[in-house]
Amino acid sequence: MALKRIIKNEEAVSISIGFILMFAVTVIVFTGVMISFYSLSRNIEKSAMEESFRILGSGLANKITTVDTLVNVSASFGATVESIEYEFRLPATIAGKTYSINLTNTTYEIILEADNGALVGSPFSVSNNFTERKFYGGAEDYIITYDKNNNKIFIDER
Amino acid sequence: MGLIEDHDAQFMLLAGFLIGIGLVITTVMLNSIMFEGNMAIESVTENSKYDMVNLMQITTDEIRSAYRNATEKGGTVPNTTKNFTKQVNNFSATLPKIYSMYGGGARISYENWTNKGFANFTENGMPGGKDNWTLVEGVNASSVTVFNVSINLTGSIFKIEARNSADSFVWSIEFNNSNYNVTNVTNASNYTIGTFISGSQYNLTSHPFDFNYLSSPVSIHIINGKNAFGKYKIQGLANNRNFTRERDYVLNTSVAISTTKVKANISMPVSVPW
Repeated sequence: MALKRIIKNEEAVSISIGFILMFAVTVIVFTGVMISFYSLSRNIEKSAMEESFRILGSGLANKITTVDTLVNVSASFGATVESIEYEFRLPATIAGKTYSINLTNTTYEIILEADNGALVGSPFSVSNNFTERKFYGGAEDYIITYDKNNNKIFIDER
Repeated sequence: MGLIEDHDAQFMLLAGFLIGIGLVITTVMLNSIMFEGNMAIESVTENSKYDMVNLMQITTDEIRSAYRNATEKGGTVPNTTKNFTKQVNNFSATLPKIYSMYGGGARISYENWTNKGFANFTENGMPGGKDNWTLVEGVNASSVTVFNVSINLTGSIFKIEARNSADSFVWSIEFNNSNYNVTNVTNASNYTIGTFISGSQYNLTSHPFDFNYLSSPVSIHIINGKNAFGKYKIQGLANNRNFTRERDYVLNTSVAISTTKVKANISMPVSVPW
């Protein structure tokens, strides 16, 4: 009987405190959802950039190799490449952010990097000399050329 | 009305579940949309290198074919070059039409052999070509029916050498300004000296050269190719298959190709007739 009385007793119930508690819980839950959604979107942006970098890097490596192959195949015919121009376009921004492209001739790697920590390296292979370059975003049109006098492959902005 | 007035909370539970499922679906969809929205890359397959290689190969084949067609029945240089020009012009006029079908362009320019000297004995026939090189490998020497050379010297020594499968020297003919020296390690009388006459044709399967008496198989090497120019022809079996290596001239040819992204210009010496 005592237990039933305690359960039915509503003397300690306060509508105001109940409302405040409900409001506080709602605010905390909403804030938690917002924070997790924000970090989720940040992760998506980074992984999207890295995926794009991978595609960009392998595409660029393919283009450089194409020029190198053309020079080598020509040599196998006893021929001399007078000129090769390979024009291509890269997006100025990915996921709304600029990025840098570093083409090294020490490790023969294309390193694409953005401020948000997205970093991808794509290896490439050339048998002719290759001039290393670094591009800092913004440009969209590029050109790969071959200098027959120095037997060198260049990449430049158009 | 009954459902709204029901205080047993089933409706609230159901609504809660619906809202939860809706949130999950919305989050997954937003995730995909944001990921796809951030992907700004197109994937393109680049075929220009194959186009370029094809163009070089078919141009080489066509020029050789035109030379053989024009010269196989003999005739004067003006007549043979006229037939050669006719065939190659026909080819070069058709090329742009073929490439324009998919938005590209191709052009070739060429020369004929009027007033042209014989080729150097370098690998590509040009004065700056590779000096020491292999003409053919795996030759069954006894099957060689034709091995003729016409040589004009521009340097002190020019040499044709045969090596066996262990890469050991077995036969050679060395030309200098006055003599030719034949060395044959499989023959008892292995050293022969004769008078060299510039521009004369030597049949290396006949005595005293006796190339076709060698044990098979051998590879034939040219040494100091820059020191001589002229013609050669060799026919026989290599690796049990018929082969012909023959060079009269090297015709300077250039090919140019342009696609939407690639433009290339290539100078290509074409050795004729093979």
